[in-house]
Amino acid sequence: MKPDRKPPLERLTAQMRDQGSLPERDLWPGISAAIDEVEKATTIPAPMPRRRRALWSLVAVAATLFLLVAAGWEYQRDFGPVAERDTSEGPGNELAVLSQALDELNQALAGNPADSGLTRLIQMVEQSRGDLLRMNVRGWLRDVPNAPFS
Amino acid sequence: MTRQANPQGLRLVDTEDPASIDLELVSMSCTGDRTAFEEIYRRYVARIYGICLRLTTDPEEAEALTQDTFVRAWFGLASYTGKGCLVGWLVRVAVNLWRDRLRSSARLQRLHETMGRDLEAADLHGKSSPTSSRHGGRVLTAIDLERCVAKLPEGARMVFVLHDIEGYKHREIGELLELATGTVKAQLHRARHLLRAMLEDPQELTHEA
Repeated sequence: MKPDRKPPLERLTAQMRDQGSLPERDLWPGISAAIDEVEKATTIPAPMPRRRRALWSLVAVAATLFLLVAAGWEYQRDFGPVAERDTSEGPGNELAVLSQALDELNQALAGNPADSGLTRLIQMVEQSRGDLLRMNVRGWLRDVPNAPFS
Repeated sequence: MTRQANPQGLRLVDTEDPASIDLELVSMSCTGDRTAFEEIYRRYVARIYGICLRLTTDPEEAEALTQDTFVRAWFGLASYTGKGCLVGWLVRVAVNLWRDRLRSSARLQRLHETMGRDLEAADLHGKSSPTSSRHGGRVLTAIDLERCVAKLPEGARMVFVLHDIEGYKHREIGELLELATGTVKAQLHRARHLLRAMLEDPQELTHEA
């Protein structure tokens, strides 16, 4: 075997390069626990159930429709031509959408009575439906004989 | 590679080269296999703890740094592409964590200050470079060098460990420690000079750091 001619420092450095040393205790349990901690702390909350998301979408659509129709209805009533003022079915459609949303929400609430979010949604939709009715009741009653605003 | 179940967990029988086993272990770990990651830990803990101990010279701090390295590695393992050896990648993780610790604890600032003073002192007193290879008739071992490295001033020790042991380039060390490349070279020269002197002196070798 050829003797190692390297100067001591270079020879020992080469030896040292491949050498490690073990810690006095096993670090694995601590590592595993730390990984668990980090994973627990960074867990993404479970996504909203599909039914709940569908309800939110329905409410959002209903609210948007309500705003658009209400704004259009108001505009038409105040500034539209006289002949066109009495011919619109918009609020009726909107009322149907809101009623459907309300039914869905009530069904969901029956399945989960403690859900305060659903209760708030129901209140919101009921409020919207009430506003819509108040705004349009005169128009709808016009053709009804003996109605108070006809 | 074959896997054998035993009461201590997964054990791999080395029927392939270490790099292939590493890659297999990494891909298993990436799917959430904690046992495969434990195997990576068992294979490389000595190497990682070794470098952590050389950089910090404090067993407790080295343990904490080793632990953090493997935790960080678990979450970043998907970024290991197989280019270069796994242990080299783990060493990089350890060194980067250690640098972050230096920066956050303002130790890097103190290190820069002491490095300047140390170099001036070396200019005044360190002119006599040892040339002979006498060391009291003892056969020197890597353990002797380990002891001498632990006695080096902090800056010189870090540069020596990163360059001569871990194979970092001057420029890379400069970036890590926020030093000019010239300063890194000067510290390395000084570290080697001091180490040669210590290895020549039998008294240095018999005293613990």
